[in-house]
Amino acid sequence: MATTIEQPEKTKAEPELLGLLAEFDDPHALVAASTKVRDAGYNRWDTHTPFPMHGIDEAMGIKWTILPWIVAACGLTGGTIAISMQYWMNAVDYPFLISGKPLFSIPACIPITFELSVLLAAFGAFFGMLGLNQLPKLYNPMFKSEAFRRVTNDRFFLSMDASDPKFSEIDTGEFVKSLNPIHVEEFWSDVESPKLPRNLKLGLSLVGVFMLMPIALVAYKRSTVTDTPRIHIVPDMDFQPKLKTQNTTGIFGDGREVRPHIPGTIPRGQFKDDNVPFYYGLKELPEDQDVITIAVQDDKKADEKKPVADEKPAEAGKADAKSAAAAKAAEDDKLAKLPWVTEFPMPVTEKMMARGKERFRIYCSVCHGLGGEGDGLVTLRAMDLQQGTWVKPASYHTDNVRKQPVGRLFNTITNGVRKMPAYGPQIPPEDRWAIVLYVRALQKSHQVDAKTLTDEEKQKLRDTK
Amino acid sequence: METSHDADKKITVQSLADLGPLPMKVALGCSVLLPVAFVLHWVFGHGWDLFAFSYLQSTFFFLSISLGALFFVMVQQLTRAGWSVVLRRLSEFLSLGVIPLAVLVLPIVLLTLTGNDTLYKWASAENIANDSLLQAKSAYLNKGFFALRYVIYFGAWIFLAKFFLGKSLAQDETGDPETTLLMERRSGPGILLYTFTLTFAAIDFIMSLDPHWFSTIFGVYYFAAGLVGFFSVLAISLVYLRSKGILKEPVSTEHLHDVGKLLFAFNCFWAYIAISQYLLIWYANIPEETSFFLPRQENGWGTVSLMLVIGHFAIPFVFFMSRKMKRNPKPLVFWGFYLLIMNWVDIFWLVMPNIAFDKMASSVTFPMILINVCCTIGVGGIYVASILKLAGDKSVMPVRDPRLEESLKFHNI
Repeated sequence: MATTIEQPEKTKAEPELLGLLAEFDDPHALVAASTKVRDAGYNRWDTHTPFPMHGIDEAMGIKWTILPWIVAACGLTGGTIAISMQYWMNAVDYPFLISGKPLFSIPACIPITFELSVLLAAFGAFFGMLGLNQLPKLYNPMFKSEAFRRVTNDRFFLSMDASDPKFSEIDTGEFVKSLNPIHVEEFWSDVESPKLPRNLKLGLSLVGVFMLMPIALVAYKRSTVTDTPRIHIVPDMDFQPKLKTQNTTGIFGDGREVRPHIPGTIPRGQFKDDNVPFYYGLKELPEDQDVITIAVQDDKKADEKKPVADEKPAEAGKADAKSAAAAKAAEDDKLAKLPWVTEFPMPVTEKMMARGKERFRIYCSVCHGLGGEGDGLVTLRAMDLQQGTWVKPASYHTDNVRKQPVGRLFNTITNGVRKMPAYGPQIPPEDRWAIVLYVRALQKSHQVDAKTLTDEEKQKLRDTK
Repeated sequence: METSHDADKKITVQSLADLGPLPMKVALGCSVLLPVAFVLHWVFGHGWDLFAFSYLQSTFFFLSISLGALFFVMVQQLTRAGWSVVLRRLSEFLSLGVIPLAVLVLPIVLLTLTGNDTLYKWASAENIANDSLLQAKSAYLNKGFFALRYVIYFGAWIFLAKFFLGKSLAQDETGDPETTLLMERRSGPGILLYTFTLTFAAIDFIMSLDPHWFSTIFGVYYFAAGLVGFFSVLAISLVYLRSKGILKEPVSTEHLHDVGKLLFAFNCFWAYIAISQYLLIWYANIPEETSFFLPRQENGWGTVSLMLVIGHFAIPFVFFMSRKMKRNPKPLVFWGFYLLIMNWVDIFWLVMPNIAFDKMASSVTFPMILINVCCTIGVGGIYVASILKLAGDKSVMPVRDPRLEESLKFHNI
């Protein structure tokens, strides 16, 4: 068992007997001796052998190690930490939805829980083993014995610790001799231990101070403010030598970083030929071209007015609403008078219908619904929230919309209407026409009397999913 | 490496025949339940499907045990393990189970060869014509190639099992240490052959029940299941044989302890593989992969799945940690039976949810369990009877193995 080094005292101390060391040259003799010591009731004693020996544990009466319990406790701690850490991070502190998985779910937690349990269990096993063996131990008074050096080679030792309550110098000495060792010796505490060299002390203190510095620097930086930008050890593309929009520069004469179109040129992909019906849905362009985008602009103006209107008394608000309604009617009137095309400016094919259906479902159905009744998921949600800012999209099946010529529908998609934004920049004109075609088909589908259909057509409708 | 003549003198040669006629009678008695299960299929609706799947499940349950035994035999040779010599002959006997199973699996192959699609959808030309995925896989999943692979798999396993038992028996006569060296050299390539055949067999016979689904870890999963089954059977049979006075001296608590440890380890391995398979599929959430787990969460299969998680892993994990449990024959046998049943449930869970009645997923029903239990006990009867017959009066211990003495003196630190 372990013995501790006595602290050297200022006054010169008497050397103290720490224990007895018995030497054997045969492992079986050691086992036999151990049995006797165990039966004699000693607690603080140990055996030292060059190799692990079967049966010595029983002979010494050593209790089964508690290391497994330490490992189990550490493993469970690791698992608990991992689970709570993931719960806190993913579900509480920073909830972040990843591919529709629940914020906290056991399957996702298993790898980390497993890893941390294993890690802490391994730590428990390693450090627990060191601790139970009272390691690391740099010095043991037994090392002073010349004979003890052969313990790593071919000798077997039994050491009795003087701190054992049953230990007494004479009796134990006799007892140990009765075990028939080849040699018995005493080991004593050191009277004085050599002092540490001055330079080593100095060096260690300096190292200690230097080790404090990074921590102090971090603490200092964390508690102060600075107006200089942070130091970029790795330039993470934070700063790039390029011009950005909305900034000024001295490079160009007009001082703008974003470059306007050069007059008389057409940017790549923006060429529109004279095919007015195809690009505008109009037979010919009106003189006042603003009229075709009027809807969106006026709607925006109305939006700006709204907060002001809320502050006014209710009557004024009503009047304002009235005037807005009047303006809207006027603008509707203007739009209605435009020379919209009534025929598709491109050949209508099966393929175009399929394309229109696909595009419609991507862009339009979220608000207008799959059947065009104005009951898309976004609409339903918005109505559910009842915040009053949502204008319910029009159903395609009202007389008003059904009467609109295809050109006008095309224009609505291109430039938007009311809350609906302009989709012109997103959807190419071919696809816009395809959507118009599909919308027309939807409108037709709601106005057919089932009695007018032939049996063949009915069967076809039933078979189609 | 010297043959210990002292060890030879001390040990009397014992064989499974010393158990008397009773085990054989019980096994043959149990096998009667197989025809009973066959007859039962007329009683219940969809009985034929239930019987076919149950039969596949039963044969592959016992096959997993024999394959586990074969792996154990080869690994002990490959690692030059000394402690396990006294258990090795018993494992070699268990690996002989592939011989009766080759016959028992044959009806499944013949049925598939006739184009019957009860088990394997890809066996019918009509199904292939209506399914582009089956067409794409038909280069591999077709009747002829399937039958050919059956011959290769069982041929390889029977060859390996007979080789290692044969050499070991020959050593009983000669005591030649060269035989051990030969077995060590052959077990390396043997394990390679074993790995490939087992992986592909698991894919062919169980995974292709759902030909749309695939998982690259499936072979390992079946392997892990088999090892759990094998170590359970080994623990049970060791304790049983010792209670009958066979192997009582050679097999000590230390050996039981190590079998318990391996059972624990491979049960954890099984859980590790199972969660690996589940986690990837759960995370990716790709339709063609989740098609495996979705039916196993519905129609009562969710209960079975949870039962596997808790019953196959969590509960035995806690109990197997104890050293006392592994060194004490009674609890060891209890948990051996427990894990054997769990392994059965595992294979049940792999195979049975694939039954689709009129394209509707099946649910766990009483007829299904009844037919399955009858079928398993029936096949098990034939399996055990065949092993008893094949083992005959051969010694239950490699009596002149050069490492026998090491095994007899084996002691856990």
